[in-house]
Amino acid sequence: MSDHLNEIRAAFFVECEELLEALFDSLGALSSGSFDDEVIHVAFRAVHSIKGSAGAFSLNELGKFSHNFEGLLDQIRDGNLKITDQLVELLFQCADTLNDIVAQSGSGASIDRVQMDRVCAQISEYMADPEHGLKLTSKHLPLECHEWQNFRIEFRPVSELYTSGNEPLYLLRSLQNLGNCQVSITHQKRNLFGHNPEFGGLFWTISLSTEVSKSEILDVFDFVDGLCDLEIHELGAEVNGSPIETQSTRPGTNGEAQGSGPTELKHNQVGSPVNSTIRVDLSRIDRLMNLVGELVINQAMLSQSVADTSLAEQSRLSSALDEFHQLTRDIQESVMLIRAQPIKSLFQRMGRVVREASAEAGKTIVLKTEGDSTEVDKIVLESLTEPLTHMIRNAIDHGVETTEERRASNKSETATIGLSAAHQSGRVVIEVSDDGKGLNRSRIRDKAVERKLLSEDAQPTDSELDRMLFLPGFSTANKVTELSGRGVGLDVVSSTISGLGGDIAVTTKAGTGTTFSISLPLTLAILDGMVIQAGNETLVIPLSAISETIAIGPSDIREVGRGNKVLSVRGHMTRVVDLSVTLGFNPVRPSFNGCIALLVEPENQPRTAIIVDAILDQRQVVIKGLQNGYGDCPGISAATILGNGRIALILDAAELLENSHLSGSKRHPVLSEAC
Amino acid sequence: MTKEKPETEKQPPIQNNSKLLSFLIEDAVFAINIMSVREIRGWSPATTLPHAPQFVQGVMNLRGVVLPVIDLAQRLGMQRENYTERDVIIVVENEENTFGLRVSAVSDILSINSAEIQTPPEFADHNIHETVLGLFLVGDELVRILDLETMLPKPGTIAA
Repeated sequence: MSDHLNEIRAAFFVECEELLEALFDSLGALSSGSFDDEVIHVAFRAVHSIKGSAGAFSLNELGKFSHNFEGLLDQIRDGNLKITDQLVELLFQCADTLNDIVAQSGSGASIDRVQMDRVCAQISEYMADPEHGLKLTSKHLPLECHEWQNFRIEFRPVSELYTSGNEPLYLLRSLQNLGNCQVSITHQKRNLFGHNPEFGGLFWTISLSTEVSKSEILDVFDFVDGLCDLEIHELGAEVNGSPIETQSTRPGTNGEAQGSGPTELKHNQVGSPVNSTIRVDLSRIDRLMNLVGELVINQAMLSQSVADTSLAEQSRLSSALDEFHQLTRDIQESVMLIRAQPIKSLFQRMGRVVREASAEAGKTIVLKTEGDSTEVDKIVLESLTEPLTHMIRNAIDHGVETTEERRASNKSETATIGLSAAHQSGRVVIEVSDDGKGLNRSRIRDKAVERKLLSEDAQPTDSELDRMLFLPGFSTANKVTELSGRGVGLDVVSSTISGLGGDIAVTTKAGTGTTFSISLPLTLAILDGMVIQAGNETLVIPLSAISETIAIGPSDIREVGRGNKVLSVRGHMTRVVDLSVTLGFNPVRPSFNGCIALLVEPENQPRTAIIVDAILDQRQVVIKGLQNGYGDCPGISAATILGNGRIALILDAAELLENSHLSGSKRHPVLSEAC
Repeated sequence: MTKEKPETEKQPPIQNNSKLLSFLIEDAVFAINIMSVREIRGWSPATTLPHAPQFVQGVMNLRGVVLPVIDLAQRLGMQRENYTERDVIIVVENEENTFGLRVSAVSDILSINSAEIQTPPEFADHNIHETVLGLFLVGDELVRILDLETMLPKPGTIAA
């Protein structure tokens, strides 16, 4: 296959993703019960477009399945099927299967025919069952009414129709195939001067006498939807009460017919083929990010050198520099935004997890999502799939009671799993909640004692017990179920989250449910840091790690022996770690007077006061990874470039303290003494 | 050294007529394959890396990239007396990494016939064969050809 075709193919799969998103959106609306005809149309069009393009790429399975799916949706669209829970469930199954087939086709994997055939069979079974039809048979006319009808079609293309590669001639020909057709030109631009020949300027009126329904005529114009004014008038319909009589709300027919010209392009349907997004290779964005980071640094260096030349405050140069500063900041923010994506796609994927897991567990569960449009860095988004899946499965398996239990405790039989996302003070907070029975603390305790994580007579607080859930190998499920209970759940979740620079917390209330909340940085590329000085070196400590800063007086730090020192923080003795000594920059200092203590409380470690010489600044820094190959640097997670062009290292407080017994720089044997 | 070079030490270190960049540490002349040199730049203060071996001078900002810098003299176990502001950083890259070598000065580009290269004689210190691929003479001057692969510390060998 040529590269060019590969590109188009890739674009097709991108489009498929968007279409599937639109499809799931409308199914979600359908299942919530609040929907109008448009919802079904959107779903139909999504499947229809996938089907159309699948044919073009000879993806036969995809084409075949979407054809079946489309058939089902078509029946719904025409009002031949009553929308029931059972139908919605089937639709979701179809959509999941379609999603799978798209993914399999995209990755070149073999198609799961068993699943496909099973769902196809379900579709035809459902459609064949007369039970599922609408009871109002007066409206229930067969699609193919054999009476001939006359239509008058006004077709007025806008210029974009031509630039997007459509050809009115083909449309007119396909109309001709539908029946007897007379085409006349109704409008022609008289003024040949100033007329752009590429934009046509012809409008057509077509009289069509046909036996097909209006919707089939509309299908002809499906691909130029939004690119033309289209009016279809029925003349002398011979069948009364036929489904085509009901005014279709499809775009490009009624409402838009009055509007004209390019304004119609604004009418950009969710999942319609006209989409204003492009897909860019992530590495290109990273490169852009690097360059912008450079720009910011250069700008800072420039300002610095201009300041050094001691120009007049209000000179034109310095005001131009201020503008430059503002611009670079804007650019930086916009570039950061490129990587941010709405969390919706992730939540949609979770919808499937809930459906499947609840089916497996035999519980009725609905997923409620909130804050779908919250934007999160793409990398964060991708790495969240697994933890969220784990947590939802956990919630369904352990959190939510069985239907009988729920009935017994006067709860609604349908349980709710909530997923919410929100921006809170520069971080993204994602919550997974259930309205189940809450954590069973006594069982956690028993398990912890059994696993020797807790001594028999320990009196842990509730929150300490809750935190035990995140310890490796901890699972309270008495038996391993299909869903979870292998004890690899929450500790993996916890480590993934902390790997992303986030925290996880759990709150629970017996009988009413459990909420896990994950707090994550907005982006992995930028960090709020405190710029500090240790010895002669400048370092950055993530602001999130620091709980408090304390100025140290002459006798605040006392020695307890063997060089170990403590600082009294409001009467509480806190371990002291001198950063410049720990990092091997300086020997032990005689006096701590004038130093600053940063209080940190890393996970699984006692509260510690990290001693630094001074706090220089508090600012956002761009994180630069340290490459491998020149050794591990315990306590250093990454580096950044400061305004003066120098590199500052970013500290990982937790790792630093774990390794704080290594003091002074370790000498590495030199390779050879000769030369 | 070059990408084509197999891992084994017994292979001829330098292909015929390949170009070498020669440079000085104090008065001693060294050379590396020019294909692995990316650029040469002036010295600017590096940020110290804690717990790094002594020969790792620290990291420098190379147009937005964090560049580790190695003091080649220390790496080779040489006593170097005067470090100056006029030192030069040779930015080199191998398959995985880009890093800088701090040297006194860059001197020349040499085209060398592989027949002229002698393997270093056997020393009690076998390590020398890891770092020095070969020796040759330019006039009176002894040029040591270095193997870049051994210049960087292996991951996990430091501070543990």
